Amino acid sequence: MNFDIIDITEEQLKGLSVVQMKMLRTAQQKKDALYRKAEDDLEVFRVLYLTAGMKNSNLYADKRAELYEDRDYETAVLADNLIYNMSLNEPSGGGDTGDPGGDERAGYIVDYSLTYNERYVIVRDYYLAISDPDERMALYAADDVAKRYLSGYYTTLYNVLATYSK
Amino acid sequence: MSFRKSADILKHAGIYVQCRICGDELVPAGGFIKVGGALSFTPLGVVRAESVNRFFAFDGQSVYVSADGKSFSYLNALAGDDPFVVEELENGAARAAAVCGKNAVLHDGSSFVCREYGANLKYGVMHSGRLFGADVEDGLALRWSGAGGVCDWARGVQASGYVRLDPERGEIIGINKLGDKLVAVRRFGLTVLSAYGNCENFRVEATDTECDDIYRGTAGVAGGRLWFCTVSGLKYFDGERIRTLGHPLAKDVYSPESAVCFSDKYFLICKSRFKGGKAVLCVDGDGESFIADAAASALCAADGLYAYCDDGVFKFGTGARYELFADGVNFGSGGYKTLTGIFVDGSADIEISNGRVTRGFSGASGKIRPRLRGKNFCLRITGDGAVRKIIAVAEVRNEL
Repeated sequence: MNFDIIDITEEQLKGLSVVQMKMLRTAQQKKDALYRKAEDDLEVFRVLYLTAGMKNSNLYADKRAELYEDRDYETAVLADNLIYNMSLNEPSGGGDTGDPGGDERAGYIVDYSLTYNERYVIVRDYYLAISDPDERMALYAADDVAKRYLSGYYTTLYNVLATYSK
Repeated sequence: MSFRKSADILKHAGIYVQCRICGDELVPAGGFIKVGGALSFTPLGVVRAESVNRFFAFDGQSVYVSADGKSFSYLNALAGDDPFVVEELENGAARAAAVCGKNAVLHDGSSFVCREYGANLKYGVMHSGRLFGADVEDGLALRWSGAGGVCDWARGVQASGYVRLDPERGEIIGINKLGDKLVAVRRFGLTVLSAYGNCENFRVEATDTECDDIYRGTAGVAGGRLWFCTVSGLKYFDGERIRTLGHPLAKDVYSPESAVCFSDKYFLICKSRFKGGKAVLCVDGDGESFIADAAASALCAADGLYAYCDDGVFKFGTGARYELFADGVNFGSGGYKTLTGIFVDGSADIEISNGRVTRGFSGASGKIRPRLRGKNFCLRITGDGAVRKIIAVAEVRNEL
């Protein structure tokens, strides 16, 4: 994939975390979709305005300018949000970068487009950051989000965390 | 040997001046009655703006205004060809814009301001809240304003714009509204534009609307038809195609100048061979036509039809004397015959000529006896009341 939604070098690209890479990829896909949609809409308009006999009018040029202006505005919003979220190393949730289902209550990144391995690592690191093993286990046992998020891996992580509390 | 033969003179009528034939009767059709004195300028165009209750007149240099259409006062300088007047709502108040090229005089009925309005147009009309007009510098370009009206020329697909029409039919020489469509009158045909709502939905409609050379300023809409004059005669566009309308005075009139539609009739300033100068031709949708005797420089449709002549302001109405001319009355024979009698059912002044001798009968009613010998006779009938029948009787020599 060619990343052009923001200016980023090969070196910087290699230094991105899994989550940052995912955010970049998602934002780039959204940008590409916006460009494709603008071109598709413009092509539909081109056919319509030609069949309407308005070939030598301002309509096509002005419609193109309008579509491109909207597209560029939405792309700029995407890029701004992407830069902000990448600086935090986590998505802001709610779809600024197109990530559906962000759950801010969880305290860790909830991104269902990640693989289970990636989710496992994110949740494990979050709970291992809690120093008190008992509190950690109590919180994890009550974490309904993690149950849905990790599915079968929930039990695996439970067993792993339990080994630290013994 | 000879025998008597009769001819219905009304059926030989060739020229109708302020009269017409209605159910075999000769009836007055109305004419122009003087209602005001001569203007201090020669108006090239006069337009009524109903919303501000004013008449606007143009002489190529200035714009004049009037409340009654008879006496005008100078309003402002507005030089140029092809001025036009449109009406619109500005902040809920009606105003008229007298436009000529880049300048507009905006008049709300009590005050006015003159300024550039943002475009350079001619033949303007308001349609769906937008001003449509032909570009002065590019005769093929039809421009429209934004939905804000005359002064809204912000560029954009939702705002003002233009379409450059195909060059085959020549430059735009007028724009008229026909039903819900706009029709650009071109030098050699028409272009129909559907222009409702969003500009993205504007459409140039493909219609069979090519024709021969159209005279500028002769297009007008009456009775759901767009009327105009071409070099081959009077034509109309009914929304689908262009049709030719033959009428009795087609060979008499020439040099059409400008036209106005009023009361579903088409009034054309032109020249008449019979009158030997300027006159106004009136045609209705059935092809009935007559000449109104007015050497007008401009017509204006308002509460009536006004004609602006060098000798005053005239208004179309009843009570004008009519004149009917019938020539080539030969009773079906090329030889000499004697016109022995004419029966007039009604009352009119009648002149009969055999080409050399003319005899006149004032207030002819019943039977008159011209006793005029000749091959062909011309009759001139003038009056102000209906005449039911005029039958001429002649003694025709049997040529066999």
